[in-house]
Amino acid sequence: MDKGYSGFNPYKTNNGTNKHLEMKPTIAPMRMYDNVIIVKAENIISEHAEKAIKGHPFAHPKNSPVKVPYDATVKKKSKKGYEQVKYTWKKGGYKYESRWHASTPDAPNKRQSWVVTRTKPGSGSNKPITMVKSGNKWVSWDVWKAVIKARQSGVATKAQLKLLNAGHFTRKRGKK
Amino acid sequence: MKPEFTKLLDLYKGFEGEPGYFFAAADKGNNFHYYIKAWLGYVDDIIEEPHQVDNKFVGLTKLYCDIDFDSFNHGLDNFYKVDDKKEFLDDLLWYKNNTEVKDEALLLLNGLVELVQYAVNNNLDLLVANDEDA
Repeated sequence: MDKGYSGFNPYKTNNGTNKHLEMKPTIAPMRMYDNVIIVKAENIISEHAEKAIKGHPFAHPKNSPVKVPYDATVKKKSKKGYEQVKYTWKKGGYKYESRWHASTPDAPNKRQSWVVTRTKPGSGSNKPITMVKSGNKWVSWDVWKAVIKARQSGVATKAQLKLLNAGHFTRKRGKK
Repeated sequence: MKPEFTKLLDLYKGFEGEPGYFFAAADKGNNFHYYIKAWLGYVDDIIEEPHQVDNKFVGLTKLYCDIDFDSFNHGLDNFYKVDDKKEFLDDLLWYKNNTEVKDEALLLLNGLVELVQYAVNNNLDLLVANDEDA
């Protein structure tokens, strides 16, 4: 054993020889297995999502402004000059939707970005209630709708544009 | 049989990246004879106060309030096929006659009435999808 070393060294056997010359220890740290790759849980995505984000690393669910569960439904749309990947899932009585879209030549917001909504399903005679994430807040769909209309008509106020920009996430989660 | 021309009403241009709906009158070969693309906000404008028949949503209202488009999947099968076109038309006409829908939402409402009437008259299917499915 190496002088002064009291812990387990996965690369050496107990008598100090190189591990590949000796039998493998019975209990080994996971990194000794060639076929095990340890990744963060949020980096695991379904095969379907893997296909959907091909060529668009920012569309990876780990970049979503809210955490996307592994079993989220993934849908991709590819049209001329414009692509979109949408993740949907249900949690706590809400239906969540995190939607990435590529830069859109015809839309005022030309950069690729994420938009997140959550919807409480309609009940009885009530419409579904949708909220849109803008920065750290959830704003009502009615407010969001009014802002989008104002932008389309070219009459949006600074406050409305700020709210709209905050609802189009262009950076990775947690980065300013 | 493929139509000689396809009619399109596009109320989605400029809203790319936003949620929307796609409505189509299609034959059995899935050829679209008439279709409408619209931003979700205009549909929401029509259904400001949801219309009910015998305490139930029907037609466009049912589609907007009750149907989860993510519960069925992918390709042309993604389309929700409206079983009762007459009921759908009646729901649209209720909004036309009893509400004050304006601007683009009114364009959409009139377009939908025309599209559904076209589907009824020509025995075509009425298909609906989320914009990303179409």
